[in-house]
Amino acid sequence: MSEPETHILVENLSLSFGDMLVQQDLNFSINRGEIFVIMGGSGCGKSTLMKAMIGLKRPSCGEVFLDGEPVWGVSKGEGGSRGGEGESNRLARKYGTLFQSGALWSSMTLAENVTLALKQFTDLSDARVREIAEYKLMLVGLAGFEDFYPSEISGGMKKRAGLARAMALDPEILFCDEPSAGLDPLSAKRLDDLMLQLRDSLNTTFVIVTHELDSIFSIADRALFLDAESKTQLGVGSPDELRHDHPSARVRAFMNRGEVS
Amino acid sequence: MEPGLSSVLTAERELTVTLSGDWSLLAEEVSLDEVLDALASDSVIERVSFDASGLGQWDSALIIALVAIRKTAEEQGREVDETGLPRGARQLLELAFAVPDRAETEHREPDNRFLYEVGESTLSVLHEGRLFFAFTGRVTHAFGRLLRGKAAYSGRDFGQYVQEAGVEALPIVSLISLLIGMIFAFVGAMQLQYFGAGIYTADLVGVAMVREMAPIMTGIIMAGRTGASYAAQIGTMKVNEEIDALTTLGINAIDYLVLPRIMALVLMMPLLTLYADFMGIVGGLLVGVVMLDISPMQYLQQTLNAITLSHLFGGLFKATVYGSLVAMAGCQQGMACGGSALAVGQCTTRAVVMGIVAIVISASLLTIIYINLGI
Repeated sequence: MSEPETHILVENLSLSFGDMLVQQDLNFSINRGEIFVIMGGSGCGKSTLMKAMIGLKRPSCGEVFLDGEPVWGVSKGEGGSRGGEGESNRLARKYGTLFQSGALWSSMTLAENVTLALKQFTDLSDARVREIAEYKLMLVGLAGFEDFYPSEISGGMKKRAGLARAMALDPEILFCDEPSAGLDPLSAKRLDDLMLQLRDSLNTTFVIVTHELDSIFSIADRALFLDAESKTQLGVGSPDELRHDHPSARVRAFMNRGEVS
Repeated sequence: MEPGLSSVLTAERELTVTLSGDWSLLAEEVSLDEVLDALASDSVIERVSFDASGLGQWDSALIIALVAIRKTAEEQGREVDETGLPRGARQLLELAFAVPDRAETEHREPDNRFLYEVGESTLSVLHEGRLFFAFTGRVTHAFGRLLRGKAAYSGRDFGQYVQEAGVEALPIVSLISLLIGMIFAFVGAMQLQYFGAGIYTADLVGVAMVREMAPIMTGIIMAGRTGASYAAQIGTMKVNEEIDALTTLGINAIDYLVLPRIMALVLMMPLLTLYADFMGIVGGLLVGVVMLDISPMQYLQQTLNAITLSHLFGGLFKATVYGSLVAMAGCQQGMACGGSALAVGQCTTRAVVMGIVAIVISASLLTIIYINLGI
């Protein structure tokens, strides 16, 4: 296998809400084609870290590089004003995001949800756009649901449709916020399998926020553990390393559901 | 059996708490004062033990009492011997004390409640104002992008908003302006009849509606109808992370969600106001014909003589200003919405209040300007 290529780099990142520090001194890198899991107890800042990586939450210091390009250095405005102008669009198209609840736009059908970005950024014909929507929804097992509204489908289907939307522009990186939360074990497993297949066939880099140990052990190449107490990362490594050989008892306890071996 | 609790101080400096009867949350509360007072004041006590031989059925009521006793005992540095308690109660007590209280979770009470509240609300008003101006800036910026053809803008949504803010508002606008016109005519006719000047009711209604009342009433209707709906729609999208989803796809939420809404309302407000002018005059006409026996033609002729074009355009300009303020307030509150269902309700309320306040303030300013310009 060739030398792994760094795809995402996080340097000296600190996150805070006003005066309240959430996490500090985060340093890690993610390789191309890797499935990387961000884990930790509830309220430790997992989702906040993800928001900093996708340009939604400005970190108090530090920088995130996607493919060597800084997320926060380019645009000086606050998170909400990104996009629209050429520079940040280019970066936005590098990655897709699957939100916790799917976050589908409720006034649009699934097909429109999937293709909104395509329509905005390309001059493809309507027939071509429709074709792409059908293909993306097929990939996630939702063929035939193109003209359904989000309110007409189940929670698991919304997540999958969210994934289809995140993949609309063929991004190199997919961020997923608690993809299996609230899904039954079978649907969660299917979603995990889907992500593995996508990685294997498209070499997409996955960054997944989760604390489902089953998912972590079955799909993660490497994982990052965020600690709420010391407010920093306690360990990066493969799930098995973290489970058996990690020096911190807290990490081992988390990976073993509290039953320290 | 009635729940009971008593305590005896033994020779070994031990306070034995005897529990008896059935303890239930639904039964009457058992007073702990005796035990707690003894623990707090009697310095001879070194340890606390329990005797539960007479204890019947129990639920959380017992555990709550035990937690209180153990807390007080530990604060005073006394030992607590739980061996006398039933096994289940011991386990629940262990569970309750497993995680120590977090100091951070305690809310600190300010020393002076009144000054604190005044300061907080002043700061929040300033903060709100700053947010509104920042939002105005971002919207202006977005308009610039729209004019250069660079905004992510959806024509279909615009049509939808025009329909919601325009045609669908016609019934309520008709009703309100018809009634306002009638009320003005009633009040005017009663006074003017004394002087035999009943015909001037037409002037009164016409000028009042066209210059002031139609724009203001339409503005207030739109604040409650469209401004609130903008805030609720955008606020809910914010709660569902739908705005984040737009942003991460590189679509500017201001371009895509706010611009078409503001433009729809700004476009519809003068049209609705023109319609309200008409309905108000019709209301006045009805009263004039029925109450004052003026012929419809005469009433209309009088109205036409009274209203000038500058009255009309002055009123329509006001309507445009109110419309933009209401739409801005609605969208701004929606975009600033917090992350819960409660926050959506709050932002909707604030959008309506802010819209109406903005209308009233700008109405006063515009009237002063008009007077100075001689319009």
